[in-house]
Amino acid sequence: MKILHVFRHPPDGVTRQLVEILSREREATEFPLHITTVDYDHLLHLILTHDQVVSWW
Amino acid sequence: MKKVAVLVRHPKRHYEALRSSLGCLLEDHRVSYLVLDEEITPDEAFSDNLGFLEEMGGQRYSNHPANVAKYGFTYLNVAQMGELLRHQDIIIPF
Amino acid sequence: METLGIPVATRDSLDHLLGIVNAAAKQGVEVVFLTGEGVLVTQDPRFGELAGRARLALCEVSFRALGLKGEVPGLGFKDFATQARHAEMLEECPHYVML
Repeated sequence: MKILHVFRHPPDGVTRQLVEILSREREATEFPLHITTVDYDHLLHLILTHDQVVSWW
Repeated sequence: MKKVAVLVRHPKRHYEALRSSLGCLLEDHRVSYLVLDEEITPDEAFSDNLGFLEEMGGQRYSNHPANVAKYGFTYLNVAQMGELLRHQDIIIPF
Repeated sequence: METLGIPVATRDSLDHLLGIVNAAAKQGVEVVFLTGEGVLVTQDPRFGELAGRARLALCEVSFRALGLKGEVPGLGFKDFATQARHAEMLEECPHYVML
């Protein structure tokens, strides 16, 4: 199970807690979408190569 | 049929998230509507849709005591919500 | 062929939507559904860049509730849809990213 966490804003404590639980015993990747320059080709690659994508607030 | 969790924090998105939950129920997905941190303030349409959610077999959870006491949500703390999310096919933070 | 579903529920997501759709344009089919404040991205002139590059639809209830009217580039009459379209996207698309 590969899970991708996309952060639309910097994650706060609640989001971090949920991410940690969801990532437990799984292969997890994190992608910040709130940065200035987003590499959309890389993001698309990650989306297509993970089993589940969660796009956090 | 997929297991779908619609997770909402900001009060201005409570209603839209509920509407999305109902749409998923209409397509025979198994839906959990999770409201984090804030009490809902339902108007008539919101209340009607909460009733539809229940009638159609959707689940509703919250870590806010008022949502449990006044609106029939099942209480889950954040850690318990995380465990529930682990068993979903699709997680929608709304 | 890969199919990517992109529901949009936030008004400030057009840059990300364009970025992902442009990246995916060579690789497959994208399905975009606008709901809630996400329908406001239709009012940006750049939204027209999506026409022909993705299958577009929006929640008509949200569109009208926000006081919008008129035609939207890339959307036909049947693309003014209900929340059921979003739910269909979940069933149809093996990949899914919410904006």
